[in-house]
Amino acid sequence: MFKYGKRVLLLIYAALIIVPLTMVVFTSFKSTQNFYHNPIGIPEPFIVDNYVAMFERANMFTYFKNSVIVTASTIIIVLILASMISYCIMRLKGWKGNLLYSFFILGMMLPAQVNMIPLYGIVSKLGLTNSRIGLILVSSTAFLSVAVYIIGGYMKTLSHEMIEASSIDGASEWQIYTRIALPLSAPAMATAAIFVFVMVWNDLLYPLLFITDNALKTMPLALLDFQGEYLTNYPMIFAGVLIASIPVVIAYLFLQKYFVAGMTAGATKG
Amino acid sequence: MARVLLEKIRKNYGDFEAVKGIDLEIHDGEFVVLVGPSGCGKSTTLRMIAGLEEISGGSLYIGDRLVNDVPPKDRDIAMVFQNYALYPHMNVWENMAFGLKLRKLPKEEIEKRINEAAKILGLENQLTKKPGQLSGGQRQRVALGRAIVREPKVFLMDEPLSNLDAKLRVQMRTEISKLSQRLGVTVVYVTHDQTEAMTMGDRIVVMKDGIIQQVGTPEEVYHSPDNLFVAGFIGSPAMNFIKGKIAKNASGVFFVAEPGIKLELTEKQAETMVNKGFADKEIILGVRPEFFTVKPADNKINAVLDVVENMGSEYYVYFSNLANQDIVARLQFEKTPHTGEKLELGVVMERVHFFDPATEKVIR
Ligand SMILES: Nc1ncnc2c1ncn2[C@@H]1O[C@H](COP(=O)(O)OP(=O)(O)O)[C@@H](O)[C@H]1O
Ligand SMILES: [Mg+2]
Repeated sequence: MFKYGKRVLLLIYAALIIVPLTMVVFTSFKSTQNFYHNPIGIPEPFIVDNYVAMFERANMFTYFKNSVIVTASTIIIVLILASMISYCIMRLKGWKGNLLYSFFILGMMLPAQVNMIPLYGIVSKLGLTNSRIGLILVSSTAFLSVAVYIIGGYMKTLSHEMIEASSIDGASEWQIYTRIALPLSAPAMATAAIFVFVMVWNDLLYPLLFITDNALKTMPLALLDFQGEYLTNYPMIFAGVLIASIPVVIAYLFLQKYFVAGMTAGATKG
Repeated sequence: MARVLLEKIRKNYGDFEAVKGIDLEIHDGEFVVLVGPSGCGKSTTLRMIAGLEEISGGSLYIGDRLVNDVPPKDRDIAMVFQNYALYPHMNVWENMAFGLKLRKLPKEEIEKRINEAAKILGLENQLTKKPGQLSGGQRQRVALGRAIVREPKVFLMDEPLSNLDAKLRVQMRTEISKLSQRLGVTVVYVTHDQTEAMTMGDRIVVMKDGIIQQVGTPEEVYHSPDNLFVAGFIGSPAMNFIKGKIAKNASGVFFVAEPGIKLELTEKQAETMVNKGFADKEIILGVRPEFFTVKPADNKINAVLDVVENMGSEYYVYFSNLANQDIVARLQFEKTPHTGEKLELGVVMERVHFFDPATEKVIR
């Protein structure tokens, strides 16, 4: 009885995800008229014009490139900084490491909307609005805490004696970091990378806040342009959404195990 | 190889003093065992020698060099940890090579040292395996190998055998002893197990509450303990302590205790007791289980057997009627005795110890 109940629940849940997703896929192959006449059904006629238009008229390549640059740079910066901070958290004796760790976790608790206005003030004073560097720096700081939470939580579980053994073996702090702590934290690093990737890739808030120049827009921001004041071109938007989600889907498929590991990071060992 | 000298070494954790000013000289090539109950400061002492723990006070010399402020890697030591502390992402060869590569030794030299160590430790066929693929005993050997290839002046070991099962522990015990003799290296070895201390150490350092209780060879520590703690800690089954009094009368000097225990002291003991003013004073008598006898000529104690443990070559016998006193004796019988049997128990008075109940120090 309970078994069937669970299955029914799972089926409903699956439907909740699959049905809208199917609609998005179908719509992206429809013409606008077809969509407004028959929003739910199968595309009639089946056209790829939306995708073609995406690249021909809408500079999709530019947006895609911008997204890649911003996301990749952010991931690199975040991983370097977060792993170093995590190393400090692990190596600091007594309460100091925990204090540092808590400080970064605190950063995770603040919603981005809270400091939108002061953040905008700082970035514009630095003259970094409408620049990729500005967006990368802001994204890096915004997502650093999550990465520290994941990587730091993991490094804290590394054997203390092993670190001591390596320092007796003659390793400097830098060598312990690069040769012991980093390679052993690879799973946590991968998890953090995926988290940051998904968040930055899909992020709308910061690009919206700092980028107005069309040539610098990222994908989520560019998609916003298809949402007109009077008429929204849904087939185009959905085609864009699908293109934008391809990298995320690929990442999920290949790195699923790290993603799951990341969800439970910190759950083991206090 | 080098001597290690500790002068008034102290360690404070906040207000808590874990090591309370210890003096110890460890000679070149000596195997010294720090032993004591859990929490007595053995690991802390060892870690201060290693440089993993800051020294709160006193001076530490390795060779002739003051090393208080020298980082671990420059102290020319190697350490073997309780949990092996191997690098899980490196194979056995890389684990051993790690320290040598960092010190920029030539390739051929690294190769040579690792091959030698692998041969000594029987790890030749394991060199490409990761630690996760090895058994506990093999991992411990790799940890030893990693220390050996470094060719350090001093080996430090913190309870290296306590994660192994009993049989392997005994085997590794002899292996480590042999290895240290073969390499002629100075070893400081920490354990809470007095058997390990007795069987491995050239000298034993008995610690309690951050203070050294006694330093000596296994024989000295066993047969002439300086105080009650050492007497009770070293030896298994433990030494028996009987509270009583020294009584002097015309026929001699006696140790008397309830119920009806009366033992005549040897001439030398009698003289010491009287000279040190213990006549008619409270005293604690210490007798090792093996210094009881059956069918004695004199100095008899009437005892009733309580529990008898057959150890094969001998019996551990516990007595019930010696009120308030837990007495165990190691005795030999022709046929297995039974609970409730009456027995005349003798004491080898030449081998007993007397302790002052006030200071807990031995009287001699
Ligand atoms: N980092 C620390 N902070 C506070 N107290 C400690 C610390 N390390 C050890 N101690 C205390 O110091 C004492 C000695 O510890 P240790 O040297 O590890 O004992 P053991 O003889 O069992 O190896 C213990 O009471 C322990 O609780
Ligand atoms: Mg210890």
